Amino acid sequence: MSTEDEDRALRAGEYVLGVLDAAERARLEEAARRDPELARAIHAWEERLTPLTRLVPPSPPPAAVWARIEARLFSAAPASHETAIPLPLWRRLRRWQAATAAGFAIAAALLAWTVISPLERQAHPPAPIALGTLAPSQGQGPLLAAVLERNGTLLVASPAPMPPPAGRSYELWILPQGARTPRSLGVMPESGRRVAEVGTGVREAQVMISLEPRGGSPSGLPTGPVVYAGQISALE
Amino acid sequence: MSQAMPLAILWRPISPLYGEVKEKEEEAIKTGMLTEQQSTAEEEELPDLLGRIALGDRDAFRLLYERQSARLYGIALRLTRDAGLAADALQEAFFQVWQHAGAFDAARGRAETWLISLLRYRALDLLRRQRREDPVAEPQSPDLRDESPDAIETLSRQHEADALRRCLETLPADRRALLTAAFLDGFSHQELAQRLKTPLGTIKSWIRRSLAALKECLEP
Repeated sequence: MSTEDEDRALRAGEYVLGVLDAAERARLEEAARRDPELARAIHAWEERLTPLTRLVPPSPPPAAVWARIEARLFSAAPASHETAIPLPLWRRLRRWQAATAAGFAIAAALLAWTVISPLERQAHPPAPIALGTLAPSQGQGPLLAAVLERNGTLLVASPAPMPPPAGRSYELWILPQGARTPRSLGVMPESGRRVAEVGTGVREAQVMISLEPRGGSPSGLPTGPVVYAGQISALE
Repeated sequence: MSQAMPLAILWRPISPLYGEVKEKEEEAIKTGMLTEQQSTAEEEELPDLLGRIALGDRDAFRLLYERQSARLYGIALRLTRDAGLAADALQEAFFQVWQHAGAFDAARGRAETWLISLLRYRALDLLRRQRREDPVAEPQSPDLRDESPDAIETLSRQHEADALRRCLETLPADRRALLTAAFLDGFSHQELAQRLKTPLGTIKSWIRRSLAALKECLEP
C-alpha cells in the first residue's frame, strides 16, 4: 500500500472514529465528495468499527421524537417547504437540497454509499467521458441515457418515471470491459434516475437493469431478468 | 512512545445521567441482553425495510423506527451525554433515512452499518456544534475508561464482531480505551489530550498507530 493510500485510510479512520473537530470533519467530508477512494476508505472503517456499538445498551427514546418525525414528514399541512407526501427519490433529493441549504449537512455516511448529491452535481459541472443508451430487452419503451463523467460518476436517466412491479425493484449493474462479474450500482429509484459512483478507471462498459426482489438482489449478483441493457463508449 | 496512559487517575465521578446509562450497560452485559436483542431475523429484515422506505412505504418506515430507535437512541445518548441532543440526532437521522433510503445498497455493505453511521454522524455534528458554541460548558462529561473485558467478550458472540474483538485485544488496554472513548463517547483529539494531560501531537500519533494496527489486523 502506498504512503498516500495509507494516509487516506488513516484520515478516514480518524473521521469515522470521531476524533476530528467540526472544521476538520467538514474538510474531510468535502474531500470525500471529490475523492471516491476516500469515500470508500470511510465506508470500510464504518464496517470495521460499527460492531463496537453493540457495547451500548438500547434506550427507548422519548415518545415525542416519533411524533416530531411524523409531523415533519407526513403532516397533512406541512408548515414549511418540507413535503408531506412521499415523492420519488429524485424529487425528494431536490427537496433535500433545500433543506441542506437551511443547515443540514449531507451525511458522509451517504457519500460512501455511492449516491452523489445534487449539490455536488452543481458544484462540479458534468464532464462526460463516455456515453451510451440502454434499450428495453423486450417490447417497446423509451431509451435510457447513460453518461459517465470524468470523476467516475455514472448518471442513468429515464425520460419518464419507471416504477417497478409491486414487490420488486429495478437494480442497476455495470460490467466494465474485462470484468467477469457485474457490479451492483444500487436500486433504481422510481424516478428512473440514478447517479452512482463507478470509479475513475472505467471507460467502456455494459450497463444493465435487472428486475429483482424488492430492495435489490440478495446475492449481490443479478438474479432476475435483464430488462434494459446497453453499452457506454468513451468519447475520446 | 513509551509513555503509558495514566488510566487509573481518569476515573472521576461521572454525571447522574451517565451513571444511569453505565449501570444499564453493565446489567445488559450481565444478562446477555446485548446479544439477544440483535436477533438475526431483525438484521435480515433491515435491507428489505430500507428498500421499501426508498419507495415511500410509511409502514416500513414506522416499523424501522419501532425496531431500531432504542438502539440508535442508546448510541446517541452515549455519544452526546445529553437527552435533548440525542433526541435531535435520532430525529434528524430518521429524516435522512426517509429521504435517502434509496442510497442504501445491500451489495456494498450491511444495513446496520449504514443506519448506525448515519446516526453517529448526526450525533457527532450536533455534539461538535454545541462544543463550538459553548466550549466551556462541556457539562456532563464522563472520563476515559476501558471497556470491561466482559464487555469486549460479548462482541465475540456476534460473528461479524468477532474479528474486531480479536484485533482490539491485540492492542494495549490504554490504546483500546482510547479507541472506544473516541468511537462510543465522542471525544475529539483535543478533548482526549486535555483529559489525559498529554500533548495533542502524542494523542494524534497514538490514535493513528492504533488505527493502523487495527486495520492491519483486520485485513491480513
